[in-house]
Amino acid sequence: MKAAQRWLIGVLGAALLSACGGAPEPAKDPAQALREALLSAEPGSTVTIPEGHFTFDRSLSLGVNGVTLRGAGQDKSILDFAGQLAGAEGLLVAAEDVTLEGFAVLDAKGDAIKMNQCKNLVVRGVRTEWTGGPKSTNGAYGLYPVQCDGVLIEDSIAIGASDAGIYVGQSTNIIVRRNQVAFNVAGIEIENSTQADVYENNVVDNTGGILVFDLPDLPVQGGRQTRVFHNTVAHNNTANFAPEGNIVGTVPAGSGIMVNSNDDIEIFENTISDHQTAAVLVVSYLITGRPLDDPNYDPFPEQISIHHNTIEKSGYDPDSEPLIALKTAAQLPSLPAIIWDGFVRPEQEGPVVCAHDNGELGTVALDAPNGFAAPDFSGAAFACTREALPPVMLGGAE
Amino acid sequence: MRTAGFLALGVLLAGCGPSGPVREGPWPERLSELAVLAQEDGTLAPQAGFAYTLAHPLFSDYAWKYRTVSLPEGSAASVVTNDDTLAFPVGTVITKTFAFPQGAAGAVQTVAPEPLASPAAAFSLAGMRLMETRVLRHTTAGWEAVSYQWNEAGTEAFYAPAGALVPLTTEGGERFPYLIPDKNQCAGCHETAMGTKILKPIGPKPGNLAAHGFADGTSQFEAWRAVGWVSAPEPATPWAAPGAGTAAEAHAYLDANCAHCHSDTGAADTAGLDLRITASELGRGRCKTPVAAGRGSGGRAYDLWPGRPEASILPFRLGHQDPGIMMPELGRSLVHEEGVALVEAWITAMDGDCAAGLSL
Repeated sequence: MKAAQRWLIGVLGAALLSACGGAPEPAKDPAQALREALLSAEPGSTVTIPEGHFTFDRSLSLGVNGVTLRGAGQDKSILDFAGQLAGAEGLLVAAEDVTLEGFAVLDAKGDAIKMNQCKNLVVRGVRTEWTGGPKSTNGAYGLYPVQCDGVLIEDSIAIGASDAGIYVGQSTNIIVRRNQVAFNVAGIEIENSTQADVYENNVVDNTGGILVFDLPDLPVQGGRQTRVFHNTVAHNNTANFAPEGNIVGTVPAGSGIMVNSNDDIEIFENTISDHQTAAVLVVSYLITGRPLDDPNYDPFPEQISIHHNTIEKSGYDPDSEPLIALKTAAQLPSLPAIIWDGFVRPEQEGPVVCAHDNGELGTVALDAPNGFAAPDFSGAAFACTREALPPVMLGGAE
Repeated sequence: MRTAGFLALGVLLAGCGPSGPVREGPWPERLSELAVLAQEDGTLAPQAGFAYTLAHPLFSDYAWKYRTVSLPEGSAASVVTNDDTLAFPVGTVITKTFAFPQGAAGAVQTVAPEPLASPAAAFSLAGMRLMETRVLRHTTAGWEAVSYQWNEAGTEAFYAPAGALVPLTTEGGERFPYLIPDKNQCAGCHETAMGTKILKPIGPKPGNLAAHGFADGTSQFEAWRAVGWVSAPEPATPWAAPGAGTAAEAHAYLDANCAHCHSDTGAADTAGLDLRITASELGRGRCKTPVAAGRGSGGRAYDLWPGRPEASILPFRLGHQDPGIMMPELGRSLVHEEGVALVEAWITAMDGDCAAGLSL
């Protein structure tokens, strides 16, 4: 074959090959570019979000291990889902060793950021917010890791969730610290989780400030060993705006710190001020009156230690019928600051909730199992001390 | 010389359209380059393999679906269990093309699809608007999933790893966004054991195949078995046939539409609700209080309240269109009215009761 003919074939061949190639690339807006960057990220890489306000009509997701998603700051890189048409969350993370840093997710239709079955998750300086104020039509959770091992959430902001601003569920080895959490139903909720440290958070104007719950009918149970300390928990008196039917819908407005059916909890050195129902509330799932069909579930809160908290102004306008009745019957201007419902195992001997060095605002054991017949204001039910729980270690991240 | 040149061109042309499916390697930009579906004479047909249908399909905004499967020469799929997806050999390529019958003035019709005549049946494109073709390939590195989006002329579909939302309007005037899933959203359903990063097909389960025949009444599973596409000594036990209106039909419907997430390993195992066809009524949420449902509870106390569909969360979420409330979370914008009616009828007929919930 002559060279010219070879050249001709080459040109024709190339033309035919290019006809097999891709469609013309449409111009990309930054939101589409971010979606594609998340989809094509290499393990261990960093995906950056530029400064700006970006709108989305469907969820973003990250499924690659070891990726850092980094914006220019929680008030600079804004991911806005107000116009969302599809997807149950703003950002869904289903990967290990992921770091989220320096951006905001606003007005997601469901959860803001859900992180499912993660390991070694870091969320730092991220904001989740529903910007229209507390409403039952807001999404359920702001920062929502579930079934994770190794969770660090720090220096973040969570505002307006109709369930919990920061919700860590069915997880182990958890640190939640230095966050600003406001105007959610539950500010911070640690649920069915083991080994959590919640500290130095500023938790204000939620319905309930910090919740540590263990609930039935979930695959991961036996939540225990949570320390809640050095937090500022103030005026969490926002009326409960959770959609009906949800367990947090049962949280009385004005609950500073609430424990439900969880074991091994240490609540210490917090400043807890201005709560219309109680500074600290310890209850059993049994008080909800809901049926219990789950044979693996332990509804009794046990080994609870509440000490050295600074408590001011509590129980002056309880948001709970039995507590209103108690306050009226006892002719008190305010209920005691620390309230326990009184549910114990039949074979229980000795106190399950220890409380000491919490100031002068007192305690009450409600006797809820007997129809609130004999509430005990003497403090005898709380007269014990417990050993300090060990700190959570996250393998270097802390 | 001239002849040699044409021969060379012929080789290059063949490179554009390989004779069989591209079972490995990078995804081509164009669906036609995968060589798994042939578009000719106004139809789509399997370029290799055969078409199939399911008795209980996933609801996708009333889109009609044309499914094909192609196994490598001489290989067969094996049965795991009657109610689990067939184990397809490496090299298998499965496609599902989504299309709507066109209505007046650019609207789409939301009507039941016509049954498939035979495994070799082509899909008539007359009056159809092609949306996307989702492709699952079982490569040596495992299953891969992505969608190809059809151009408006319906002449070619293009690799669409980032998905798309396509605005559509029903003949009744309801505007809705049709979702072409991105790659992660494909995995969101097909990674049936969350955290494993292992994808697999969801639909082709022996019971679901066996419950539905072609127009001539042949069980699909039996048709596959007869030609050696399935290696199984026994016929499958068919799931309840559609239209029966029974509890068993509701169970099959929930499996097909929900169980890829709501199982003991799926993305929704966090909720403790099991909607596989093998689940118990307790697993399906009988008297189960919501945990992380948020607005999805709709103010209702239990997932399933026997005899009281109006007080049960399950039909509430199936019947909703808000992305923060509805179930399934992805893959539909419209309500499957017939599906909701089936689930409500099942709950209505269910014996028993739950305790009335109290609050603190």
